[in-house]
Amino acid sequence: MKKKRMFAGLLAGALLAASLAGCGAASGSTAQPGSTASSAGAGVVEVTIPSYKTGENVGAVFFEPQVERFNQAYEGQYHITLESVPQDTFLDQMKMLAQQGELPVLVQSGDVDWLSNVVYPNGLAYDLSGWLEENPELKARLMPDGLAFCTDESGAIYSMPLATVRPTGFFWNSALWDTQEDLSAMTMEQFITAMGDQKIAFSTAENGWVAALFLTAAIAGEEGGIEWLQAGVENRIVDFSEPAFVNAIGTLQQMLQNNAAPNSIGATYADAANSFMSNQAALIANGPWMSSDFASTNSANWSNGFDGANVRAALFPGQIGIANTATYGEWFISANAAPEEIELALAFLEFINSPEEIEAYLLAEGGDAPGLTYSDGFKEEQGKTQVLADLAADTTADTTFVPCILDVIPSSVANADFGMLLPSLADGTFTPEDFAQRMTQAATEATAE
Amino acid sequence: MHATEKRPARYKPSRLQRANYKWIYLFLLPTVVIFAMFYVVPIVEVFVTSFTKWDGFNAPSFNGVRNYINLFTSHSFLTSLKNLFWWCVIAMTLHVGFGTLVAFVLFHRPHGWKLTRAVYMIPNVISAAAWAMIYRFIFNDDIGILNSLIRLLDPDFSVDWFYVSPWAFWSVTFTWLFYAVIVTLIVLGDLLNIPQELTEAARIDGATGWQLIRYVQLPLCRAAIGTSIICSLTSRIAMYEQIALTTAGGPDYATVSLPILLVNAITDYRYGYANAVGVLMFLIGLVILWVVNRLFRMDETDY
Repeated sequence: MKKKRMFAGLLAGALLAASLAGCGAASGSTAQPGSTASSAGAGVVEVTIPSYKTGENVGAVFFEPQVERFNQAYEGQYHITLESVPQDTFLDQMKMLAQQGELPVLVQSGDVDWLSNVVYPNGLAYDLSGWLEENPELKARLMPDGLAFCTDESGAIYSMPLATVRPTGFFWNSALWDTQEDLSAMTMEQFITAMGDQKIAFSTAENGWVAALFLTAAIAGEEGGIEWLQAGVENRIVDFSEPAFVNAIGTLQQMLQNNAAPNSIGATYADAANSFMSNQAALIANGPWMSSDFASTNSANWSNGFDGANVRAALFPGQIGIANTATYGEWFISANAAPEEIELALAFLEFINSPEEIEAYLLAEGGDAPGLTYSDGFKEEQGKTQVLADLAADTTADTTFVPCILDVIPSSVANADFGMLLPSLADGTFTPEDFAQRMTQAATEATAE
Repeated sequence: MHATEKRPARYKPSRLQRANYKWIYLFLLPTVVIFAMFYVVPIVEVFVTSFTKWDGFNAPSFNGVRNYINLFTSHSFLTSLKNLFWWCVIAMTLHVGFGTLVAFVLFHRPHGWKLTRAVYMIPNVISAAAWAMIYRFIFNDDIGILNSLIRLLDPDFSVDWFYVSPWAFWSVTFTWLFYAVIVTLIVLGDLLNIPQELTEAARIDGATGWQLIRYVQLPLCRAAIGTSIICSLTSRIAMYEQIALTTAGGPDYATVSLPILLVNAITDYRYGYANAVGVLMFLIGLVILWVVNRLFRMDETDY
C-alpha cells in the first residue's frame, strides 16, 4: 500500500513537473535564433538568421546565393545559416522574440511603427553610426534621404540605411498593346486616353496593391499630390479630404470601371499576376522585382500564349516612380548580440553593400543605386533584361519619387479598410467623395487615442 | 422545495476518504496550474489591459474607459454588432434547424442513410479557411459555378457575390450555414439516448409520427439543441477565417466582425483597444450562455 502511494505521489509530481517544464523557457538548453556556435577549435563564428527570403519566396532567388557568397568570402572566419520563416508570420515571430529579449543577431526588416516605437527606443538595436563613420566609402553609397531618416536626434543609426531604390512603375504586354509612345512622359490624363480600352490586371483584395499603385500615381499627378504623399512619411495621413486624393480616386474609379480586367474585383496580387501572365490584361503595376517572372526560366507560370519577352516597363505618367527613399533599411543588428556576432553582422552588412553585391542585386531585382558608379559590365548586363533597361532609362534626374499611399496611412487602413472599400468604388456605390470620407472615418478610428 | 421537507444532513466523508484528499488535490494540481496559466491569467490580463493604452511591448498606461468609448462610437464596431446579431439569428434558426432536421432524418435510418451521413460529415474535416477559398471560386463572378449556371438562363448575368451588398453578407453566411455536423451529432446523440419504453408508450397511446417528434423526441432533445445553439453562436462571435479570406469585412463593412476589428487593432499596435474588443466578445459569449441556459432549462434533467 505504501509503495503504491509512493508511486502515485511520484507520478503526480512527474505530471506537474512535466506540465511546468513544457510551459517554461529552457534558457540553458534550447538553441536560440542567432546563437553563436563556434566550431570546435576552428574559431568560426557561426550564427543562424531567421529569414523569409528562403525556399519558394521570390526573394530567395537572390538572397540565398548571396549568403553563400558571404560564407565563401569569410570561410574559416564567419558562417551564416538561414532559418526559413514564412513571410506572413515573420514579423510576428520577430516581435515575439523581441519581447523575450531573444532577437537574432541580424534582424531582417520590420514595420516602421514597430521599429520606431518599440525596437529603437528600447535599445534593442545596435548603433551603427560609429561603424559607418569608420567606413566613409560605404557610407557614401547609402542614399542621403535614407541615411537622414535612419539617423535619430542623438545621431544614432540603428537601421542600416538603403543603398538602392527600386522605383515601382508598371509593365505592359506589347503583344496586346503595341504602343511606341513614351508613357512616363505623358500626363495621367493623356495616359488614360492612350490606353483606350486596354485591360489592367488590378488587385483589390488583401491591401489592393495594384490599385494602390495606380492610385498613388494618380495622386502624384494631381496638383499638390506629391507634397501630400511625401508629408505622409513624417505624419501618417488621416484626413483624406485633400482635393488631390479625391480627384485621384475619381481617376481610379474611372480605371476600375473602364479598364479593369475580368476578375479584378476581389483579386489578390497572385490573381492579378496570373491575369497578366495569361494575356487577359495588358498592364499591371508592380516593382522591378517582378522582372524575374518574365524570364524564360519562369515560363511554366505563363499561359494562353503569354511571352515574357513581350513585356515592357515604364515609370508612371509624369515621371513618377513609387519608392520611399526616406525609410528604414532592411537590416538592423540586435544590441544583445555578443561582440564577435556583431563583428560578423557588420561584415555581412558591408558585404551586401559592396559595389559588386549591389550591382548583382540590381541585376537580379532591378532598381537604382544613386551613390554607386556602375561598372561597364553592369551596364551591359542590365541592358539584356528589357524591363530593367526600360526602368533604368526612365529613371533620370527628372524622376520624382513618391511613397506608396499604403505606406503613409495607418496600417489597418492600408491592410484592411482600403481594399474593403474598393469594390464599392468600382461598382459606383461610392462617389470619390464618399470613398474619401470612409477612408477618413477609418483612419480616425484607427488612430483614436 | 417544500417548507415541510427536511434539509438533507450534511455529507460527512469517512476517515479513509479524508485521508485520500491530499492525493486528490495533488492529482488536481497539474490541471489547476495549467488552467490558471493558460485561461485565468490571459483572461485577467485581457480585462486589465483593456483599460489601458498599450502597444504590446512597452508598459501599458491606464486610460480608463477610453477604449470602450472609442469602440461604441466606432462605425465599424456598431456595424459588426449588427452583423453579429443577424448571424446569431440565422445560426439559431436555419443553421441549428438544419442540423437538427438532419439528425432526425438520420435517426429514422431511411434508405441510404449511411451514405448520407458520410457525405454530410466530410465537410467537417475541411478547415474553415479551405472552405472560404472554395466559396471564393463558387461565388466568383467570372468563373464561378454559380454564375456559370445562372448564365445558362441569362447570358448577361453578372454579380460579384462577395463584393456587392447585400449579397456579400449572404455569401459569407453560406460558407458556414449548412455545415451543421456538430449540431447533428449532438442532437443525434440525445435522440439515441431516448429510452425505448417512452417511444413505445407514446405509440401505444396512439401518437402519430409527427406527434412523437413534437411531443416526445423534440422536448427530450431540448438540452442538445440548447448546447448546439451555444456552440453555433459562440462560433459566430469568433468567426474570422471565413471573412478574412473572402470579403475581409467589406464591401463597406457589410461583413465586418469583431475578430476582424480585433486583428486590425493589433495591426495598429493598439493592444488595449484590441483587448477591449476581446472583453466584449467574452461578455457577449457569457450573455449568450446564460440566456440559452435559461431558455432551454439546461440545468434540469429529463430522466
